[in-house]
This record gives sequence, structure tokens and C-alpha cells, in this order.
Amino acid sequence: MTSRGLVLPALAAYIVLLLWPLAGVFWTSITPDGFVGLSAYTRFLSDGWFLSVLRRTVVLSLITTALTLVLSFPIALYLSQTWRRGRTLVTFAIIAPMLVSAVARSYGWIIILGPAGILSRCLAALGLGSGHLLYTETGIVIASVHLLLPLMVLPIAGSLQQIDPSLIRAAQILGAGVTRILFRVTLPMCIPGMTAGAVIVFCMCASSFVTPALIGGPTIPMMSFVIYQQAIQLIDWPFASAAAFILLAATASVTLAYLFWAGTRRAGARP
Amino acid sequence: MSGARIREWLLRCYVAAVAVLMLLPIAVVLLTSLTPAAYISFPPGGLSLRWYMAVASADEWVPSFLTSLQVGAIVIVCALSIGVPAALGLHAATGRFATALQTFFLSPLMIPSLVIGLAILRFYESLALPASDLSVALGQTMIATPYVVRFVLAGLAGVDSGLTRAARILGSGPIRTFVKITLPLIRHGLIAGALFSFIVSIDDVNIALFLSDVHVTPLSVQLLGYLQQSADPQGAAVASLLVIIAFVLIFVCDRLAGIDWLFGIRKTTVS
Repeated sequence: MTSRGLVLPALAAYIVLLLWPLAGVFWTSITPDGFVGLSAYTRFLSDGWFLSVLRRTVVLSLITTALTLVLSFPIALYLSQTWRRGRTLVTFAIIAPMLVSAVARSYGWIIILGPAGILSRCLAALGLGSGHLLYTETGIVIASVHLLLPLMVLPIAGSLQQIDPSLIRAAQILGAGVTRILFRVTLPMCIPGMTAGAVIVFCMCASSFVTPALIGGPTIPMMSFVIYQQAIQLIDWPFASAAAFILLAATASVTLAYLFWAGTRRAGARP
Repeated sequence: MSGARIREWLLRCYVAAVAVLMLLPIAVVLLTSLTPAAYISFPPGGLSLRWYMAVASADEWVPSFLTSLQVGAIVIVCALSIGVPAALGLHAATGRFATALQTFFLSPLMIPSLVIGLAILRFYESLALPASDLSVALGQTMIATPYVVRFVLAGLAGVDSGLTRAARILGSGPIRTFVKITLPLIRHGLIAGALFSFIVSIDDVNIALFLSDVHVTPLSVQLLGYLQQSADPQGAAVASLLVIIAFVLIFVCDRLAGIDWLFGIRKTTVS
């Protein structure tokens, strides 16, 4: 078949502009002093400050993933019910912000969360103290949840639409209540979508740069900020490359575990 | 029966609240940009376009804006010219190899884009390639192509293969069959792929941050740098421009391809 040859231009572009450069970065990371050695990695993994950045990245990404998972389910349910009026409007309001620049959206959160922002003035007006959430980890989580929510809603809604309506009807006829149907039929059938969404949100959150840089600032850095700082401001290429590969290893291991899980699940589902 | 009604009412309130929260930061940016005051104030005390005037007359924004448009146009061309053939080839092929190749073509979405940016920067440096519209665009092509592949594959999945076979039997050559039959049938995927490529390019910071220099600075990179240093409503005006561009493109996408189709949410169920 000649049509298979059509993948060749893309394959060539991916090799030249993705695989080869990534291999180059990996090589830089393992040759910090001109010869092969792991000193850049050991420096990262033995430094308390860098480890705290890695820990913060993982913890905040996990919290963000858990929050988006819980917040997304009712919205996905709503969007998957095709009989609803105003569904396009809800799609537009909840999903479309995904395509708005992360810089613009984070800037909105700066205005809301900042010291003289809307939130702190509302809190002050209610007599609930005078704190603000800009340059805090809570602020990063709030802005990240806002940024990544659509990426969780879409796969869950996709899963929900796969459910055969006759399954729900059968459960109803057999006397199951709404709660029971939710926990025994709907939620289990959503697990593929939820897992896919969780993997995407975790990886995107762990590797996001703009939101932590603007909301967290340089005082509470995440991994991507450290990579940027080491590369552009300190021009320490081996160390920046090692940090990049530690981040890549963290997100890639989550993705590969997911792909393996999805593969075995599909194999198990075969009759 | 009233329990069901309460649940329904709660779901609607919840979805409405999340929709408002999703749009809130964006609305805040738009309103802030209209303030007549010299500082960020929300709600704005009045309405004026003075910050848009300031942006239009400043030396830094107009060239950045033009750079973004040019880079975005190049990204559309590059991503379509490798992504569309790749999707056609993948659609024709079957088996484990094709599945693996499809995962590979979608993989840039799962790799931290900051790491891709770092890798391509190092690659360009090894070739002594200076920053240009083209070099930034080639980097962004790597994160835009997966969307083109995905949308065109989704479009191809809806094409009845009997139609192309019928055209071939009736004596139409492979190219004519593609132009006259396949292309019109997958136009939704093509349009969505092109518009997404542009949106990805104009919103991208993580790759452009590494590949740009003082002469070639896309708008979102310029804005990020500005927001990290200054806090006047000029930043809000530029952010609003990005928001407006995104919403215009989403609207065009919706008109041409349907927002439901675009995000993989089925419009109607067959029952």
C-alpha cells in the first residue's frame, strides 16, 4: 500500500525535531564534565532545595488532579445528557476557556487573588481577615484547577456517552435506586475516562510553567521554573537537562503505567 | 419524586456556578483592560480604551503581535502538511505498528512542552541557527501536529469507505478521489486542525520562551515578561486581545465544525 508511505514526512519531522533533540538533551545531562557521569542527577537528588521543588510539584499536581476529578464528574454528566437545553452554552462556558491563553487566564487570577484583589476585599467586607492567596500554593492549585478542568471533563463525558442507556434502564427495572445506579453502574463505567483525564491533568499540571510562574512567583517554584532558571538564567545546561529528564521521567512513568493499564484492560475485555 | 427534582436543581445550580467560575478570570481581565485609571482596579471606575491606545502606540507590542500572526500562519501550514498525510496513512494502516505510530504522533501532548522547547533550543544552537519566525514555528509545529492528526483521524473515522471505493470503481484516479470525495468529507477535521494549530501557536509560551530572542518575540512571551515586571492595565489590554482572538477562533470553529464535534461530545443520541 502506497498510502502508508504518507506517514513518512511526519515521521521524519518527529525524528529531527523531537527524538534527536531529546536525545541531545539526555546526552548533555549525562556528560556534565565532558565525560559520561551522573553527577548532574546526583546533585539534583541530593540537594534538599531541589528535592523540595520536586516534592511540591508532585504534591500540588496530585491535589489538582483530585480536585478536578471530583469537580468534573457532575459537569461531565450534565454534558453527556444530550436532551438538555442550553448544553451548547455550558460546553462553551466550561470547555472553551481551555483555548484561551494560559497567560491571560493566570493574569485574571492575579487580579482576583492579589493583595488588593476581589477575593481579599470580599473577605475583608465579610470580616474574615485580610489575607490573600497570590504567591501561595493554594493560589497555584486554584488557578491550575481552572486551567485543567476542561481536560478532565472531556474524557469523562466521553466515557459517559459510551454507556448503553438500556443498562441504566435495566438497573431501574430491577429496582436499583439513583444512588445505587450511580455507584454500581455509572461510576464504574466511567473509570476509563476518569483515569485518562487524571493522567492528562497530572502531567499537564506537573509540567506547567506559566501558572506557577505568575501565581506562585519565584519564591515557590515548581519543576518547570527550575528548568527554565537553570537553562536561561544560569546557563547550566547539564543541570537544566538533568532536571528536564527528571520531570520527563515523572510524567512519562505515569503515562506509560496508564497505557499499560489501558492495554491490559482492553485485552481483558476481549471475549 | 421531589427528591429527583431537588437533585436536578442542585445539578443545574452546580453546573451554572462552575460555568461562572470558569468565565470569571477571563471576564475580569476584559473588564480591567477597560479601566480609565492608571492602576489595576476592579471593578473599573469607568470605561475607556486608553490602555488599548497605549498598546497600539508602544514599540514592544505591535511587532510582537505581527510576529505571533506570522508564526501562527507558518505553524498552520507546517502542521497540516505533515499531519494530514500522517493521519491518512495511519487510517489506511492496521495492526500493532500503526497503533504504536499513532501513539507516537500524539506523544508530544504528553511530553512537558518546556522540555521540548529546551531540547529544540539546544538542537538549534548545535546548528548555529538564529531565532526567526520559522524556527519558532517549527518548534510549535511539534505541539500542533498531534491536534491535526487527531482531528483528521476523527474526520476519517466518519467517512464511509464505500464512497471512495465506488469512486475508484467508476474510474476516478487516487488523487481525484481524494480531492473530490475524501477531502470534502473530512473538511471539519481539516478546519479544526488548522484553527487549533493557530490557537496552540498563539497561546504557546513554553516552547517560544526558549526559541525566541529580543528580535523575535511572540505576543504571549512578551506579555509574560511584562506581567512579571509591571502591573498596569496595559498587560490587561494585551491579555484581552489574546482572549478576543481565542474566542473569535472558537466561534469560527463552532460555526464551521460544531463545538460538540470539536470536543468529541456527541450532539444527538440514536435511540
